[in-house]
Amino acid sequence: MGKVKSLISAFKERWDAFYSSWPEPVKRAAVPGLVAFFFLASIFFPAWGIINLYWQQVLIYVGINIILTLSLNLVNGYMGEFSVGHAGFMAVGAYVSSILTVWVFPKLGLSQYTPYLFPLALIIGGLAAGLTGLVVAFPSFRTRGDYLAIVTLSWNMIVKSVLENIEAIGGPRGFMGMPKLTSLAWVYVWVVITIWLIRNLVYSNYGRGALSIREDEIAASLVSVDTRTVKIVTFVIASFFAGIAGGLYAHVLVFINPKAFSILKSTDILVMVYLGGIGSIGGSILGATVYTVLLELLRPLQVWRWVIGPLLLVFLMIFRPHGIMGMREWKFLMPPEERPESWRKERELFVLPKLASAKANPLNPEK
Amino acid sequence: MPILKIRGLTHYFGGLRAVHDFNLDLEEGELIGIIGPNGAGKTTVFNLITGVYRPTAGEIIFNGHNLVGKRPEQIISLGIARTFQTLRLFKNLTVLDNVRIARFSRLKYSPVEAMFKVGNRVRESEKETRLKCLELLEIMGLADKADWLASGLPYGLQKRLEIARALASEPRLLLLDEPAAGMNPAEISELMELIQWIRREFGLTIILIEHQMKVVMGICERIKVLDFGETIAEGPPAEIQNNPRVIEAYLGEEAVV
Repeated sequence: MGKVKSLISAFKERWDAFYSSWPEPVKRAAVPGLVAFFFLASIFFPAWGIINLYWQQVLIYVGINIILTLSLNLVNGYMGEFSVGHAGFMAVGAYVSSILTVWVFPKLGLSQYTPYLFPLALIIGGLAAGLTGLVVAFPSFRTRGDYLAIVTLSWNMIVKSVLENIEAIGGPRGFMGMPKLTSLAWVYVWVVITIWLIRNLVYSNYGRGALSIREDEIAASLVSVDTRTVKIVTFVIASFFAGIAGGLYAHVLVFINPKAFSILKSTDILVMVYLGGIGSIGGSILGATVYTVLLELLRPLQVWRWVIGPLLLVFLMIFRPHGIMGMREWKFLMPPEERPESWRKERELFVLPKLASAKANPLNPEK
Repeated sequence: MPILKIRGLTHYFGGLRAVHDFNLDLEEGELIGIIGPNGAGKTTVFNLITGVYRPTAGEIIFNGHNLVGKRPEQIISLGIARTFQTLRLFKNLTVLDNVRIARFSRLKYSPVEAMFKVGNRVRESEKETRLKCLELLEIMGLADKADWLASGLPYGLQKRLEIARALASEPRLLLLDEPAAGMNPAEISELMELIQWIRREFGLTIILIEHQMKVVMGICERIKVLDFGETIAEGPPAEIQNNPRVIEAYLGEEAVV
């Protein structure tokens, strides 16, 4: 363990030295450049056959899981509440967007435009999930404590039972007939959008309000954070992204049934959140990727993979209880103005000159 | 007109009477102290003012607003800030974030705008918040530790950070709950100077709960003494020091002789 740690820190040191040797414009273009490169890769690599169909599928699941993990992390990690029914919102998004692409768009005579209307279908699915999120959040955040866990757990079960009992959308047999619209490129675009939006939120003062609720809810309200509204809004935003992920999921599988959105799916998402680490975008990305790929690689073990996976989790909890990177963040995922070195710069540029003319105070008597 | 007017404030915890018939007229710019033995109901008064508890009876008027029945965040947004007897910092967040959160009620954008970073509104509001708070940290001597986690600060600096966080919301009334607890004599003198300085500089009205007589007697203009929820004395420090009922409450009856 210690050896690995020293290896990692040695690598980090070298990388930092290398990074600081880059000229400023290169530094600034690095992240957008990488994002653009991977976007092109997500279009051309499958087309050129560099990634085969199987790995395309795996990567699509990785992307969908990143969106799910990140959105649940917003509630469970950043805000410190405990929601356990995320798959319920995923189901709403999946069914609503599927109904749109299978029934509504063709009925409106828009069949040939369906691929272009796909983002719209996803967003409407997301909004529907967000709306149900509002319905769930409103009563459960009126009280403090563990009620959210109970409410979301039952919510997940209610959604599943309702879907199983509506014959029109296939009931327990499932719903099919949607075109296979989810491609690697689409998933990639939505992952980037999700990361960008959630990053902007958690690095704004509104998002910091959510963080303060995790740290100490009463203290938060006593420094003017409107805890009730923040909790509801954050929960709705998380539900929205779960709905988007559900829509993507439905259009890659081209078949959904209520069983896919059971408590087991919610548990999977929870595992990915805590594996990656709470309160971290980088952690969500890692958690979703590692868990998804690992379960794929363990496929030859058949039933035994359900033993290896949980065992790994147990070891993780023993040796790294905060997950892979709990409450830490990769610097490149932080907005530039939120990095400590930019605070230092702002201090020198704006704060110190302004205070230089101010009167002395008891803590800085030397002035 | 007083900035804070409290009339007949009474609070029961079940059958226990924590505060009874507490009255207060606080003029703008005053610095008053509340003292009393442990369990006298001092912190309960703060909790009633800031809406943590809802009073059993009585009224609290701050700057023309009736505070009874309002939620804490609404009360704080009206211009009241407080610190805590036991530190309640956001331990896993940075020093700067701790202070910034206190400006939550001054947000100029919606969460959706924050996500999309539309236009310059979000950026400017964020920058303004950041600079204001960096300035406050500079004043409080915490600027070089802006990126530290609050839990990593030594105790004395954590206390200072709590005061900085309280000041960040630009309050008119500041409630300090035992700011000198756990400090050594040198730190206490520094704290006394600091309290008087921030009061002048930020134009504050301050209510101070404190056990350190040096602090209370040194800087308060007026002192209220509570014992078992009752106000047993009120007046300038010199008067309070010689009040037999106060001495009795603190030292027991025999000492009166």
